[in-house]
Amino acid sequence: MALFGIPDSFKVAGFHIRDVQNSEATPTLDDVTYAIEMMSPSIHGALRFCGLFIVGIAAQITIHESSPMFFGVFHLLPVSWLATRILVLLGVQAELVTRHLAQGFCRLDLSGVHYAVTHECTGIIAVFILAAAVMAYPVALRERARGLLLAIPAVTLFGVLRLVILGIVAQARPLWIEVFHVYIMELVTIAFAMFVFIYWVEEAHGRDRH
Amino acid sequence: MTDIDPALRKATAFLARFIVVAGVLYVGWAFLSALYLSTLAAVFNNLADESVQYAVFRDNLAIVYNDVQAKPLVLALADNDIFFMNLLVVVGLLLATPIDGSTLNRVGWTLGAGMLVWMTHLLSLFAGEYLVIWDFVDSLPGDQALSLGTAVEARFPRAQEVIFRAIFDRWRLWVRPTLALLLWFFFARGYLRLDVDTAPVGSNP
Repeated sequence: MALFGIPDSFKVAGFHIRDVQNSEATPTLDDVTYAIEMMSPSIHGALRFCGLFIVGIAAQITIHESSPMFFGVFHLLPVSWLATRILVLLGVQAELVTRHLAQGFCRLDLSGVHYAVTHECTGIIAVFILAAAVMAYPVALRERARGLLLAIPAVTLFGVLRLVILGIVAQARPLWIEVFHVYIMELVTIAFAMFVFIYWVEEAHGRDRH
Repeated sequence: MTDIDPALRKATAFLARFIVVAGVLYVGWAFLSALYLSTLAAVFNNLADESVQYAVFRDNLAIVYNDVQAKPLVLALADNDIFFMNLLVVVGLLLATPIDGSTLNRVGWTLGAGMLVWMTHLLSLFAGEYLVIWDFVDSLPGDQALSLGTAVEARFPRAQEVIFRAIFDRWRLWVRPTLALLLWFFFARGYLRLDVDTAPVGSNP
């Protein structure tokens, strides 16, 4: 609809501009969608990916919080158990107590000192991050499936390694456990997750070229 | 070198750069953490009323509660600067990523992202004043907990503390790394090939 000869909306340099002063209508979802579509492909692609990534992470957190026992049995317990076995093989006096699993943690006894192993300790965030990033990336479904098959076992095994390292640090340098847990292992976890993600992105593009 | 899978080469190069950059930042943090905490405390103290103030003691934050008992109650936090180290993760990701744009672009992004993360840390101080005092009350024996808890309840209602704790726990576990990666995904969109607006990869016949 035109008002005093000025159209309600018009395009300037690829953007959808609404004559806000003369129009009583507030921007609609269509306006926003159109504005995003008119952005440069660079920003449009990144915004779409980031939006889908947020949705993916939020969905996984919701599922995680609504069924903690599922993740306890299928992630926390196997990762903790395998890490404990490796610690024992490495000569660390380690024992895993699983009776607290329903409360969201396993107890790892290292030479008489008790540590609560939570989901956070097993690096489950890396699993969620990679799964969300793979699902959000603009690839065909079979590439996504290939990505998940690569990413989930890789970061789960990394979770085992992470717990083994934390166990060794807790045994050898107990005062360092906090900085290892909160900073160094978080940093290494994100680095490893992005290593796997970049590798998969490049592989997917390589297959596409061939 | 030509035999190495290009995908593996690119991923490994990024991993190596990131670990080197983060390592250097970690060393720098040892010298700058007290200054960083001081800026957070100074801004918080200017924004908040005088009943709660943050102070920096020996590279750590302490909270001074002025009106929950007759004398000011000072609670020192141990190793709390570690929580703020996700700033280094964000900066490390941005600096470790090769981009086609100018250095100015990278500097602008690093400053902008750093400022955003700093603001989240400032917000965490507002939640922290509730969490710390109630953690302290809960650690006291019955009678003391009851008397101090009554005074604390008037200024820091338990119901609000429960909400802040729920938000803070999720923030600490999920949102901190997600925010770091979102900033990086957007910055590194060319590096990650997100800037091509074409058919999905793998959809070629």
